[in-house]
Amino acid sequence: MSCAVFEERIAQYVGGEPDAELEQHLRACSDCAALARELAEDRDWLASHPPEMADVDYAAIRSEIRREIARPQRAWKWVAAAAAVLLAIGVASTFHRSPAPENHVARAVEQTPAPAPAPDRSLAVTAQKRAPKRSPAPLPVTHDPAVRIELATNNPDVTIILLPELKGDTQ
Amino acid sequence: MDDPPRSTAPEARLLALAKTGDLDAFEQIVALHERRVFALALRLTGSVEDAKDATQEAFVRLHRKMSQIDSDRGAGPWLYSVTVNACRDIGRDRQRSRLVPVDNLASLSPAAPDASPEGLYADRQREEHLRAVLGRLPEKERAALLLREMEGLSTQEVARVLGSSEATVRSQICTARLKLRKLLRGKL
Repeated sequence: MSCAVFEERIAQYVGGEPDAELEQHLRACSDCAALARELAEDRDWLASHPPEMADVDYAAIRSEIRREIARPQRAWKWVAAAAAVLLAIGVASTFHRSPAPENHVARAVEQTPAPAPAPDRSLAVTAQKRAPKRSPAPLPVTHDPAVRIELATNNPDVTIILLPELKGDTQ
Repeated sequence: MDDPPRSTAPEARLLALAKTGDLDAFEQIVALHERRVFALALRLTGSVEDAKDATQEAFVRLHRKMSQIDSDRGAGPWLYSVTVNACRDIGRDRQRSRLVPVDNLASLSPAAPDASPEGLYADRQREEHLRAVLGRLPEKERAALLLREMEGLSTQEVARVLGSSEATVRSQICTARLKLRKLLRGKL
């Protein structure tokens, strides 16, 4: 049994950290000397290469690397991004072309005025407040402050209202 | 099997050429480091197949990030860091360990390599035992110990690769050495 107090110092010493006091102790203590010897054996073992390395087909690994780096990098992400932009442009232009109703409200989807359960006002208000952040494309340019766009969602209780930004809104 | 491209230029020059898109220079860099990267990955993952995947992934990442490599320092430290991360990712993806259960193996002591068929068999058994035992060390301790003992990195370099402090790495390496000794000799 080695002296517990020296264990960590022996582990550091085996790693190459000089320790004159410990060296003196190792000369006198056979248990600690055995511990140092075993740690040094393990260190040398770890420094050797695994025998399986002789069997590895490195040419095959290189060939895979070659093939992988020749492949276009994550092209699908760019395709998806381009598709999203095109979709947003399409949606925006659809709203832009829609004839404005007399009351200057463009409805993307008609909501049925069916007797729906009483809407949760707090949710609706939250949705309306957050609506501008969820806009997928710039709003059609308009100088009429009364024009707004309402987007019906799958949730009959939630309607997204897009309001044009007026001069001075951001200040 | 084609032979690895022979490196005829210092690594700094190869890196400079590879950064300009010279594929031949890049392959020479691969040939310079592939064995060390594979050996590290093998002992980190405990599986030849996982080590191949990690080696491949490390060099693909090297190619993509070639511009970030400091030509004067060489690709080594960067590659070891990426190898450690790739092995971690592979381990998480697979969600299972291919390590040989240590309890099924006799306690084997390290021994000098032997070229005879019996000696090779014994070497492989010892290596399997070593990898099984390494698999029982915490991930960070294992990585710190292997980077130090296999790759010969200084405490400072290991700390940089693992994104830890030097004090933490020094402690991890000491703890890992003591645990490994006990595990290898069936004392833990």
